[in-house]
Amino acid sequence: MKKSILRSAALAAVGGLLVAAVAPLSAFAATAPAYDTTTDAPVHLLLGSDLSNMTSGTQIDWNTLDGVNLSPNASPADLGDYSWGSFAPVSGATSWIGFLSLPGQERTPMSWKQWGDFVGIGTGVLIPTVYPGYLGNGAPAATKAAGGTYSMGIAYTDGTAQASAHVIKAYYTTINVDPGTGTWTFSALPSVCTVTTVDHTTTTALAANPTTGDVGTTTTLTATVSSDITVPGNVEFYAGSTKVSTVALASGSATKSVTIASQGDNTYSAKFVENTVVGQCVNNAQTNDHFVGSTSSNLVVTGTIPAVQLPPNGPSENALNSATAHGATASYSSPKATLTVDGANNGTTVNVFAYSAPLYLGQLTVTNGSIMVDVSQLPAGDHKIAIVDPTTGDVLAWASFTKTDAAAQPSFQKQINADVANGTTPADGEFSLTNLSGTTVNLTNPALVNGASVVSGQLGSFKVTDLRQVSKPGWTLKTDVAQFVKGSDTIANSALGIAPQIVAQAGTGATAPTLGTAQVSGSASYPWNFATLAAGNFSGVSTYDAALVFTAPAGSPAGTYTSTLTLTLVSN
Amino acid sequence: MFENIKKPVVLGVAASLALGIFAVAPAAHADPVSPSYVAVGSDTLEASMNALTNGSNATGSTVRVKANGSAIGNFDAFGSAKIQTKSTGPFFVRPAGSGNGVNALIASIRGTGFNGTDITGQVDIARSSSSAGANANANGNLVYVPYGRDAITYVYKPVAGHEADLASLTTAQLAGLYNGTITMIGSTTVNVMIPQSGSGTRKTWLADLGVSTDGTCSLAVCTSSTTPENDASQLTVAGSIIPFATSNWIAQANGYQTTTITGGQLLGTIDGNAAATGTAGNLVPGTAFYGTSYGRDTFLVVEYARVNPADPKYDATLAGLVGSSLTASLTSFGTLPNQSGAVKKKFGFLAPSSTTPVRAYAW
Repeated sequence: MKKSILRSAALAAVGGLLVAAVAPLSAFAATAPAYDTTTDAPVHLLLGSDLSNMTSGTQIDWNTLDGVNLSPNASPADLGDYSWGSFAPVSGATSWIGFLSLPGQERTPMSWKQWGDFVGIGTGVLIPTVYPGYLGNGAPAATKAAGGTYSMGIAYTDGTAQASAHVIKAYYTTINVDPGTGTWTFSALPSVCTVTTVDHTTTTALAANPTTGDVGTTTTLTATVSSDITVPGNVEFYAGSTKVSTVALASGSATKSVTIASQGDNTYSAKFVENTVVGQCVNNAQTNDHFVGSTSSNLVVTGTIPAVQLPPNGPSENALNSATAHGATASYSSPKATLTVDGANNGTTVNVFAYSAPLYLGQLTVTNGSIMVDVSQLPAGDHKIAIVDPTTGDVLAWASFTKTDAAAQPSFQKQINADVANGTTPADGEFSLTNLSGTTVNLTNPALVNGASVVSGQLGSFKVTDLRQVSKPGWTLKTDVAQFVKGSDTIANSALGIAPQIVAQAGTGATAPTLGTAQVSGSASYPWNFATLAAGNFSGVSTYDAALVFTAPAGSPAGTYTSTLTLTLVSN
Repeated sequence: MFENIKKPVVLGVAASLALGIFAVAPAAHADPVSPSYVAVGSDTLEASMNALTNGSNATGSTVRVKANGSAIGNFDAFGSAKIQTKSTGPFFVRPAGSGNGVNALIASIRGTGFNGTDITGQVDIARSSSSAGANANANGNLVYVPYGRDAITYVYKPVAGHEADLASLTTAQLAGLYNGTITMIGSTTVNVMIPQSGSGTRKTWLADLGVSTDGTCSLAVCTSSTTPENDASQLTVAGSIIPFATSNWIAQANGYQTTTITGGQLLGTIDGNAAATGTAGNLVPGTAFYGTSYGRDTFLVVEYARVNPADPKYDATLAGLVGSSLTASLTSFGTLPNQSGAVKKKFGFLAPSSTTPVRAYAW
């Protein structure tokens, strides 16, 4: 019989809970209000039955039978000595009291809607019981009927008379009460994170490939930054003490291609820039990874000057006579001439010259009774081609041929891509030419200077080889720049300034060419001569680069504009 | 001495109810008039119930059980001759003790009058340190809800130089003292004392010792005693001994109740089991002793219909106050500092041996 009684009693309790809990969930669920930052400290709501942390949005009965307790901190898994649950004493405050008020009236006791009892503070206020149905003084029935948004919490006061007590501190949360049912819920606390920073020491190593190269050529620097975990961030590359570039790490390494600037030792280093990765807040905890900066040891790349082999002397034209022709014949098929000789010469290494003035065309081996050689640098007209014993200088055979096309003019092109920043206010002996760097120049990271977008960079190195030590006609290195284009937007080529730079000059007896006057960004004019060599000189091997400055006219739409710069080497 | 013990607790209630919650307790002498529910009856449960209904910081947290936000009126067993429990209600004779409390509850339900006064609706809860006993009935109109476990032991005042004589006694020795066959223990001539005849503690004590089940005994003191229970100050003569509710002793020694332990009185040990352990201020019930036949569950008694959800008289608030599984109830034995059980432990109660409510008194 006792068993049946127990069930009845249990029903009494459970029944009371169900009546209040089910109704609001169907149609009148209270919504969680916004957090009110005017409270003197955050307030956590705990379930009275086990002091577990209640969740914002939970629908709570007006007169919850489990009770609700407030705490200055969330309850931990191990409740311990409950010290976490005590609101500390405050100077000047002698009593505390639970209250419910309209927002903004928390510190005006006479305006409170409901309140509890004044209790002495003593050594603190431990997990006070506060919920709407518990605050019996004032007009609880009216609050329940009207519903709405209220502040609910405890007030520290300097007295126990409502009319005269001053609120020294007020700790509260915001609740939304459903009209009629009185079901309520409370606002979520703003996320509060405990931040822990973990230091990671790093090591930066630097390597180059190649470690020896001609001046003006490039080498690739690779910086590898290691730590206990993969290192993110940026690496600064230095040439000597000059910062060359900043490159983002990918999987712990970064590369940068640099031009070998000078003969001998070129010293490079890489510096990993101190970096902190901010973690996400998970369960009120956040771990930041602080990667300590580090610098590599110095790395030396040796720059070399390319060896220049001047052409050998050749016999004068009058040595080409019927006695030395030896029945040879010559023909021309652009860009090569073929000299057909007696098969007895097969396997013989010979120097090849073109006439009238001897022009050294190279050293070849007679094969199948002939040699074939590039004569593109000869002008149109009648020429002679001869093979000469390298040792004795004797003419072994020669013949005439007619070149039908003009001399080739060495040329290469580079595409130049120049970025324009957002926000510009109206603003904005061989006789050869060899490109030593890439085919694209990207002018990135523009700066705003006096409202105009200005970006700069280097053209990249190239070399002119002029070993024409006998004829010495001189040459002109012509430069043209197309207008810059981005879709339908254009910028005139005058925006590109070019300042020629000589990187290296080599060749015994050679004359250094004359550099053209720098073209100033914004007032540049093309075509323009990068460099010239006057007649009567040969220039040997000249390695060049150029500083580029691109100034976008005011009002230019932001974006990347593309143009083509063409360098053409023209013999005089 | 009752005035000294009980009045301060009553005053707290009076102040908060009569003058409004913001008033500081004044030196007024009035019993509470309850805006909600009224409890009367046992002296043994009185102090802990006062703590729960008026608010207590015994656990470090302020614990106060309310009825839908309203204060509960807990009336002491002794005080003024008559009390008024609810506004506009009648003055009637104060129910003193467990049996009186249950009788007042029945009179309140049935309208049968209590000591000649119609007290219909004036009492909602009866405190009882006794079980339903022979009144248990599966169809009873009342239900006894376990409140906490107490134990009855004895308190003595030792004779100088013979302190050990009365410190630890056996059930046989105690039975001999209370049926008159033993008058001396060791070198001590024992002055046997017993509470007044209406005391539940007296009745239970004599039954535990096997002397009688109705509170009668052959000693002269049993017929003449007017000694209040749980008042150690009554033991003024060295060699005196009296039954005492351990819970009450612990509450007094811990400072949660006005102490009567003013003259060197000590708590006795029966059959080798200490009734309480620890030192004054931090005394806790002796678990082993509470588990013996000297231990007793105590109860809050209410009308069954009012806590039965299927009954038209169902009162969810009253059901919430006595729902053992509800932490905010009077009968909860939750151990967290915000819960009633933790307060009751400070007042010398352990969890009841059973939380099963027992119906009683069919009519």
